[in-house]
Amino acid sequence: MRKKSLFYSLMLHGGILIILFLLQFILPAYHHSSVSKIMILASYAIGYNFLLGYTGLMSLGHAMFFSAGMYSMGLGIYYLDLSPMNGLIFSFLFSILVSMIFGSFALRTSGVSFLIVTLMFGQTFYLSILYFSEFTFGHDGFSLGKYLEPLFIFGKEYLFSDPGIRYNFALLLLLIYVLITTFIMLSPLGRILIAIRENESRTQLLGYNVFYYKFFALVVSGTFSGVAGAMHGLLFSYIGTTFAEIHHSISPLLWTLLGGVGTLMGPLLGTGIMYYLIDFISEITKNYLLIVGLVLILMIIWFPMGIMGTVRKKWFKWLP
Amino acid sequence: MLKIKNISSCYAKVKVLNDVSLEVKEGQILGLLGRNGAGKSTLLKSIMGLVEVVSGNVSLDDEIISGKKAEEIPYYGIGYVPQGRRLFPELMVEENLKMGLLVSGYSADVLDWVLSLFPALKSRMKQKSGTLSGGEQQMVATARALCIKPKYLLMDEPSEGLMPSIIETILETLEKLKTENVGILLVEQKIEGILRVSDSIAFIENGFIRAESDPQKLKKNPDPLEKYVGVKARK
Repeated sequence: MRKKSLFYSLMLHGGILIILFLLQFILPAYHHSSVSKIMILASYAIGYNFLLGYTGLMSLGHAMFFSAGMYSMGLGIYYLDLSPMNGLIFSFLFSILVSMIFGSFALRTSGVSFLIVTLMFGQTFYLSILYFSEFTFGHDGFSLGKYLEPLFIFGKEYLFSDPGIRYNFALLLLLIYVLITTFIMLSPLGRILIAIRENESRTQLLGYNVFYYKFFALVVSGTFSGVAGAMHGLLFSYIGTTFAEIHHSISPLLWTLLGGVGTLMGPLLGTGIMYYLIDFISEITKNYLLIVGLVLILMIIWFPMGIMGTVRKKWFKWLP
Repeated sequence: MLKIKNISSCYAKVKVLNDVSLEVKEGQILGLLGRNGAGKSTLLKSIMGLVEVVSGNVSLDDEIISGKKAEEIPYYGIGYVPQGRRLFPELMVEENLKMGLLVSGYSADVLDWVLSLFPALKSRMKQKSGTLSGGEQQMVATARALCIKPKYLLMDEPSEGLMPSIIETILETLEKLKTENVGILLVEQKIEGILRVSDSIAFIENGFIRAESDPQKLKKNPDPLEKYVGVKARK
């Protein structure tokens, strides 16, 4: 990346993150909580985008990673009396394990077959949660609130449900994901991932073992999604099967497509727009999905490469 | 020497190459001519491990390389320029070339050598390769394959869709590579170009090598050109 592009990019993304930080001081309580949630879900979408946008692998099973992270953290705290931080570390390790197991099977396929395998894995995981409902609390899920130890910052006690803690933890997660993604994508490794997306067989013929690189991308993507799930469970104190359902696998795909596949801030933008679109229209009508669908169709017509992707192609070529 | 010995290859159950034997020597160009669907590209893909070789073998300096994975072949010193360029359009020219430097250990000397063969690329290094003209893209594709510092180069119709001045640049580069002892297996449709740079010519039809000759003999007796490619060479 040229120095000028890097400078513009730093200014834009730094600016967005600073604005997000400052927003917490002026937002009313409802939107304060909404933006916290959007940042967590956007982190999940960044994880999804790492696989789809940068490596070209489309998945319909990412809810498995999200819920694997969420359940491992929640069940770890519930059954093993883990502290919240140890719960997060446990979910981080469990997400890596799940991603590795999943990757070693799913990456033996490609294209539509890969899509179907991811869908099947996702559904199997969802049904497993229901099957072992005595252990996982099935459809009802469970609340973590009373099992969470408070957090001590500079000697002062905070609950994870505290709006300020929730907001800043969500922002911190988003910041970490943006930094890691930027670092990887600017490195030679990121270039190889993009080369695989652009032309897998050609990359292979230059001497790269594309399986290992795709495996790496999948493990990063799955781990990002898993930790986002764990953070969601921790900050909103609820663990449930909703987060393992198929729609929760489709959601990050839509957020990413809307915001811009293969762009750094596209997932955040897509998640934010979609969240507020549903929030706003569902207050007007029960058939909100019909309206949301129409709006999405129009947006895709106007922004065929997603909002950030189209902006990058037409106006700001330096956008990462 | 790159030796192709009695190889047969299949797409599913359809045999596309039949008992093909050829030799590419260091510092020489072997031109491969044939009509569309004759098996030219399949032969290159079979050497590169993209199409399974069901019998026979490919060896490089007496080491058998057929049956190896496609990503292992470049490490033996074989570069491949596929038909249609196949660049990474979203990556800059510089990044495309660096992708090719893995095998040669990211050596700056290799990059300098490649750029000395294609000086026109020096001013395009920071440009996305998808935005280049067809001729420039062909230069990048060839340069990228050369970044592995190959002993042998397989080229699939490098002049396809290019203007004459660019074809001339490509041919001049091939002649330079010969002087640097690189062996080249060149698949081409442009008869004049292939006759100019090749040391020997093989004709392929329906997956069989039907005839082998050289440009001098073909000038005296152009019958194989007419028979297997359907054109008459200018005398």
